Amino acid sequence: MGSTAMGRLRPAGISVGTFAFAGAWFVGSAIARLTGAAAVLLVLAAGLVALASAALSSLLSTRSVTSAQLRAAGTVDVDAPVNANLSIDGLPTNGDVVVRIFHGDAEIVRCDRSDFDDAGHADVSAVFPTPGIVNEVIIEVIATGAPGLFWSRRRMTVGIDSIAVAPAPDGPMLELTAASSRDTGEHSAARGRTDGDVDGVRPWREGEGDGSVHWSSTLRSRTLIVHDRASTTDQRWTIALPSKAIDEDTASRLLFTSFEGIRLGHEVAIATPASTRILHDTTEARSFAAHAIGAARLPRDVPTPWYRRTLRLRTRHEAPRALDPVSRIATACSSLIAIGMLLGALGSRPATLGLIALGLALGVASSLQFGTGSDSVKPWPLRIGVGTATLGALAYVASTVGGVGGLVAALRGPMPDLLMLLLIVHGLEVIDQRTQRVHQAIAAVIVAYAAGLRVDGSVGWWLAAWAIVIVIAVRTSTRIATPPTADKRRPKRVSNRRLANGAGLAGAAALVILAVLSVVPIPDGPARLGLPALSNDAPSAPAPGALAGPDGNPAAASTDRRGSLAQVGGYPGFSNTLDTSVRGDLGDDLVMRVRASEPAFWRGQTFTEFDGRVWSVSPEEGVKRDGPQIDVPATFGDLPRPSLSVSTEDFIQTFYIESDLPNVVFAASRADVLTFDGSVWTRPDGSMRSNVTLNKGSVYTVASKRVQVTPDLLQLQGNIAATFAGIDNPELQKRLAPYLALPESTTQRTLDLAATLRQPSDSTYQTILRYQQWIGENTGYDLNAPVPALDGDAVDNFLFESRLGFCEQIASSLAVMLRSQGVPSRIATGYIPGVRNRVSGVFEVKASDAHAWVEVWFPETGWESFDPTALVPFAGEANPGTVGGDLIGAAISGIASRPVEIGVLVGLALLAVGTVRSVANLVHRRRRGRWGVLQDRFNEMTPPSATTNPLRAASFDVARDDANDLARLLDRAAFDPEWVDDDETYRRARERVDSLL
Amino acid sequence: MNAFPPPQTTDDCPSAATAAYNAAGDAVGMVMNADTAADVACRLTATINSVLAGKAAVVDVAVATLLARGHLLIEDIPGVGKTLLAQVIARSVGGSFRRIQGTSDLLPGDVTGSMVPGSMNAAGAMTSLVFRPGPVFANLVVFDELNRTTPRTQSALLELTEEAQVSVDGVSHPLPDPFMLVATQNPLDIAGTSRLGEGSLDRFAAVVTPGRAPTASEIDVLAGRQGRTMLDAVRPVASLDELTRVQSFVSCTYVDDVLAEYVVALLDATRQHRAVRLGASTRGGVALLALARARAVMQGRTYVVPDDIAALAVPALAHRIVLADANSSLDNGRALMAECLAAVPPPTV
Repeated sequence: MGSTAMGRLRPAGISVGTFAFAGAWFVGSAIARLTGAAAVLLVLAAGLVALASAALSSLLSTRSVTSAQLRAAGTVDVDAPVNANLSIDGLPTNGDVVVRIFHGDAEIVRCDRSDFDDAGHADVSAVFPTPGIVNEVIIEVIATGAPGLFWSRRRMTVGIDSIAVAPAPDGPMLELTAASSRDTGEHSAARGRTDGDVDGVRPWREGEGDGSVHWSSTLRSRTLIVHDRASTTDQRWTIALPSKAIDEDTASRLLFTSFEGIRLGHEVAIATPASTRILHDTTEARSFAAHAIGAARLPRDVPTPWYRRTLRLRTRHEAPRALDPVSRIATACSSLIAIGMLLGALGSRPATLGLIALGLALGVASSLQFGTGSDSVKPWPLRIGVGTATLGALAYVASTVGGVGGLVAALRGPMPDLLMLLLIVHGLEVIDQRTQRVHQAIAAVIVAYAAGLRVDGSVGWWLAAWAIVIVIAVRTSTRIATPPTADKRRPKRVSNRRLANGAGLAGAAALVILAVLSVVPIPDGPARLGLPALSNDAPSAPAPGALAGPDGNPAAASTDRRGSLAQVGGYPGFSNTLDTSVRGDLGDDLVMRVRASEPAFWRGQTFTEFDGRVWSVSPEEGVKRDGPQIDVPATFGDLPRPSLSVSTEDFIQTFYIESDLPNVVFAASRADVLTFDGSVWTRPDGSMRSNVTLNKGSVYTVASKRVQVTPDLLQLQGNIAATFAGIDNPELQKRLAPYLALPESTTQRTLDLAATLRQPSDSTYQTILRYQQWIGENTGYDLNAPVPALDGDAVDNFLFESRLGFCEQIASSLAVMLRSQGVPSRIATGYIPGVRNRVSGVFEVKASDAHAWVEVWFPETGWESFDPTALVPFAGEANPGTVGGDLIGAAISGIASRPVEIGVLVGLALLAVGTVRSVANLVHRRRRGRWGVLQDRFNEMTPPSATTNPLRAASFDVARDDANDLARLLDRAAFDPEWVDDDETYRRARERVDSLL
Repeated sequence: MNAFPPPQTTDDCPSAATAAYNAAGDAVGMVMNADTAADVACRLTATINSVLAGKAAVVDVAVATLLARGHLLIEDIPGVGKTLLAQVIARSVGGSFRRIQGTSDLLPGDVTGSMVPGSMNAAGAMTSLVFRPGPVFANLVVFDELNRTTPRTQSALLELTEEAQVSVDGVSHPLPDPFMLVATQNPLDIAGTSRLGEGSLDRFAAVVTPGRAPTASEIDVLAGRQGRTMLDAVRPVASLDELTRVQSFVSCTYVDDVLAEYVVALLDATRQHRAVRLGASTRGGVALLALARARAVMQGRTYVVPDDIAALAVPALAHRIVLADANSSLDNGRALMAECLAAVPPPTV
């Protein structure tokens, strides 16, 4: 055997069906882009890491290959299959393996894992394409890792025992000299008969019968020895060759000639200038011809371009075999989870449920029909059915999609149904690795789709369950059933180690996923397409553009001052008037979920006119605009001045209404494009009202243009009052007047306070901060604050009398104080951002998050919200953060928020693990006996190469005496018939074990 | 008598047998128990080691073979003490000792003995033929260069190693008890030799290869502190009677059933191995257990432990394995046996 030169590890291709995963990934990215769901990004990042680790594991799978050997008969014919013996050290144990052997570029052997035994030996059939001597072959091992998705290859150049490849005999015959082969020159009577004396012995040659065997020599030498007789033939053909090296053509003719001579029973001799050689039989002739040609020329030895050598990516088929049952079950579970997620996102419609029931029934029927899939029955009718159904459904969707509304309807309506139908029906034909992967990929798309649509908090758990199931399915898809081994102890230890390895790898993968996600920003919401927009059969508003309560009736001005507004969403700020002395008990019910990348005020209404107690909206009804795509015009003060280089940013929010709300359309300021299933009146004060009430299940999307305001920017604008005073523009003054009007009831001490707090050199921004600071220091926030008298001034009452109040009173006070100093301001009502769910990435808004705050008009940047009670950052300051950071934050805050529960849970888990372990230990102890347990501990302390107890004891360098004693005791306990098991001896043995540890 | 008695039934063997020996021992003022048996073995080992330099492992196997009523084949290159080992074993047990030098013209009759004309009677006529015992009629027979003699003579040894008797002209002549054959052969010397057949090889309980002694021991040999010069100083350290009784004690040493299973698993492993044409025989398993019993007694135990089997599996079984590769040597058999040994986990508690 010659030397082995190892090549580098190289990628070698992709398993069939892996492209489905890649496709699913890209579809997932599209979904992430469309819905802007952080959960989809989570799926994508995990998928990316999983694919990368599968590729890496495949690349490393051929690393174990260290050397290879090929043995074949010494002389073979060209293009004729011959048996060869192949053995490879370190054949990968997991996944599929294909071994190809090349001579030059010609493949001479191809075999796969099923040809190899456990020790890496295979009996293969080889075909050599070119005549000559082959001393060296290239052995290529191509393997998938455990996941089986990617293939890698490793080539090695291996020297082999010379194989003489004889050319195909071909005429015409060479020139030859025929002569009598006898010294006497006479011809004998019988040709080919043994007539010579025994001349000696020689090794057996192929084709000789047992009549010529020399038995005594054969027995002694243990190889076949035959009589060597004098020439038995009459005629000698002498073929003269000019030299020993000849070309292939001559070699073919030589073989043809010598075969003919041998067939006729002549003695064939080859005469070269150096020597004369007699060819006794065809084997010798073939060997001679091959050697005469010399080294076999390497066929098609064209250098391949580097990119083909490096990449050579192609789809490869695995060896056909039955799918592992665990893998099948896990795949089915992944599909079920996907369907469950999607159903949860859509709400189960009867049609969908019926479809799923039908699909399950079909699945049962088909699994009975097609069996486990190990056979090669391809359910072609089924495939055709699936294909036609899919194409037809797609065509239907395409035909119904007319414009944006149709697409939106399709995405929410037939599309998920179609996907689920595809998944269920495709599940029927999962019979091999390819279809299984495609199936898993379809499930992955559905999971991404559902993760994009779902906004509830359980998304994380669904995803975790799906991830576990899909990892099991992929990991076991290439598993090869191995017969159970006799020794149960050792595999258990191995499996423990593998479990630990697996846990470590999973942890590492989780870290990598988090690392990938930590650079992925939180998606900035759905694209302008405005994916989901839906309104249920909601009551219509009574009059065009008018306000309606959640029940569709005109929103009446609240008369009861406390308590009667217990209805969810019945915040007084969502009506035509806002009585600062009324505060309903709103409760903690979930009002809506908002998918957005940053927190912001979800503004519903703005109020300008104030009579000292009640704010009211302007009576104008606005302009009606029809959905689903609505361009919202900018209103007065909404836009920054173009002269100022302030950037605006698209800020996209999707509102999922969870409780019945009035027909107020909430949006972050300033709404630019609204995707709404219905009509909307856009009012001059910047608020919007719909033609139907927003009841539970409604979804709409708003694309806002947010001015990137920062404190510096506000500071730069100086004293607004002074600026406006300096502008001599009657139009502007007229428009500003409503925002500067003070109610008649405003008291002098309120005005004095505002004047005193403001420093002459202050910018307006500083003034606002001073007012907020004073309010914060001198008043308290209390939902149960005493209600001001009906005839008194609410602001005066709050600032100087009760000094307790809620947001309406605080905001009113700030607005009045600012107006008194010539700063245009108004009141806005709506919701504060709420709490962000870190996995689904949505803000969960509760009824008690209803709020009122102040908006101040800055001439350069437009209306800006200020709020002394809620902490909502300016648009320019809000940082979207990253998905990974969010997840880590969620984990930390989750642990920090419930330390006791988590501690108890961990404790319980540890307790459970401990119980299971101790029960297992007890069972083990009972089964093995106390001496058996000692023996096991002794085994674990010593290397596995030490098989018997004295050998184990010898592996200890220190405490050898203790070890020897222990070995003796253990052997006695096991094999001495007179052994009596007493506690004293047992204690001694246990002490020995402990001391050895 | 059988050279390798099959294992006794496990229930009554040790205690009953020991009692019987003790009863017999009382008559001659000696009680045979594990300690005295170990003592005899120890004396033998020490004596042999005092002559043979640096070959303690081989000596252990040789003594175990002696105590197990087996026969020993020493296979090694010339000049490493093959014959010396055989001689010192013979000297250390009192008893008759004969040495046969294997040559190509040695005939079976030369070994076993043959019928010769008897003495003249009074009438001056020859009486009928009488049997003149050959050199094998001794307690310890050393057959030097066994492979140099013809297959025919080698075959003549088959009967006497297996049945401890010689049949000449239809009459069986029992060999003395105890009887042990120690044969030597030189594996390198091929010309003019006949390799031992599988059947003949199978008769030997163990095959050892002493190899060259370590440097320190070699110096001792050259300086005359050890080696052949010390052979004359060897006096028998055990009487024949003692040896017989130890041999009987050994044959009754307790072997647990799981150990018999272990031996069977080892035999099976050699038979299943892909490089083996013919695995170890059942006789090999019997011999291995007998040797393991002897080793247990040598270590002062009344029961066999897996280590005894593991330690002796290579010398007891390696020569019985016929490898697929016809040119394989004993070393290949040893490597293969070690492989099988590593593959079969020994039993424990």
